[in-house]
Amino acid sequence: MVAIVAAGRCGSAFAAEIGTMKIAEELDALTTMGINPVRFLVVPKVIAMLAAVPALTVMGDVLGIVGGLIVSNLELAMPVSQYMQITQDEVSLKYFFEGFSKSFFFAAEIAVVGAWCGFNTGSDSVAVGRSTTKAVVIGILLIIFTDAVMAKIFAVLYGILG
Amino acid sequence: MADHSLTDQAKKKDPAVEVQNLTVGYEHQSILEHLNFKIPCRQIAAVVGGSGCGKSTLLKHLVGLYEPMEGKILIDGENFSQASEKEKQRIWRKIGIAYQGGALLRSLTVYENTALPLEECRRIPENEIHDRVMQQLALVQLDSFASYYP
Repeated sequence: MVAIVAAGRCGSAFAAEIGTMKIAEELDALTTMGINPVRFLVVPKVIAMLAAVPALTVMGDVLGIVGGLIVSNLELAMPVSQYMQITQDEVSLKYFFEGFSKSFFFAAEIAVVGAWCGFNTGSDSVAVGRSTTKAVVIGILLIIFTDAVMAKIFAVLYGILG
Repeated sequence: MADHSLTDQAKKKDPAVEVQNLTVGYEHQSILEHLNFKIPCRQIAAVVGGSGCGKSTLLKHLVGLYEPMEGKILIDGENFSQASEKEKQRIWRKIGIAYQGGALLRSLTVYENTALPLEECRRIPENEIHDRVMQQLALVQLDSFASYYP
């Protein structure tokens, strides 16, 4: 969920930023100054996403549990202690690590796809809009695909480790 | 061209820019074919033509942003069109380009935009970069706008 929100917010922003820079000839200016635009623009974004998305994932996990607590308490009249007990029994640490490790892959995908769409923007302002849409759609599709592949990998790993 | 290059080039009396049998275009569509010209050192040349005739395309090829379909581009006698990425970086440092729209990075201040090539491409101490940037900004009376965004 966090990765999909990040793809919508950050992937589109990266594509729009780099796409606008391309139209304004800022990418050409960087190149002719002897600065590699990929190193200058993409690497910091990938590093930032690798730091932010896992942190947001942890925050999302905590807020998810707190949200569940509020709903179960207010709507189902479930006592807090009972909710906490069930959560402790059902949500093991391995699920937390599974989500946490996947978030690094999602983060890199969002940054790379956003930047790639930005660099491949056409030469008019309408093209920026198309690039941002493409960045979000490809980003979300890749997240779903990666999630499925990693779920399978983790299932196999759990099988091996018992 | 930077001053030291002009001096060296003037001594050699070779053209600063030489184009030999240049054909440029996009994908398989050629736009300009078999161009030949020389621009001597310290001479101002203008490329003039109607909209869409290929002026920008030619200039983008001259500064090495695009690969030509055929022919050679010699900058200071060096074949720019077949240069490796490392050689291109070296040649680019001798070229200055003023873009129509400014092409300034909007996330950086006027000072940071001016300092960027010095910070990224040359190993110059920070205080020297500061002095050089402020000196250049003062030349165009922009030193009081150093902290502004473009």
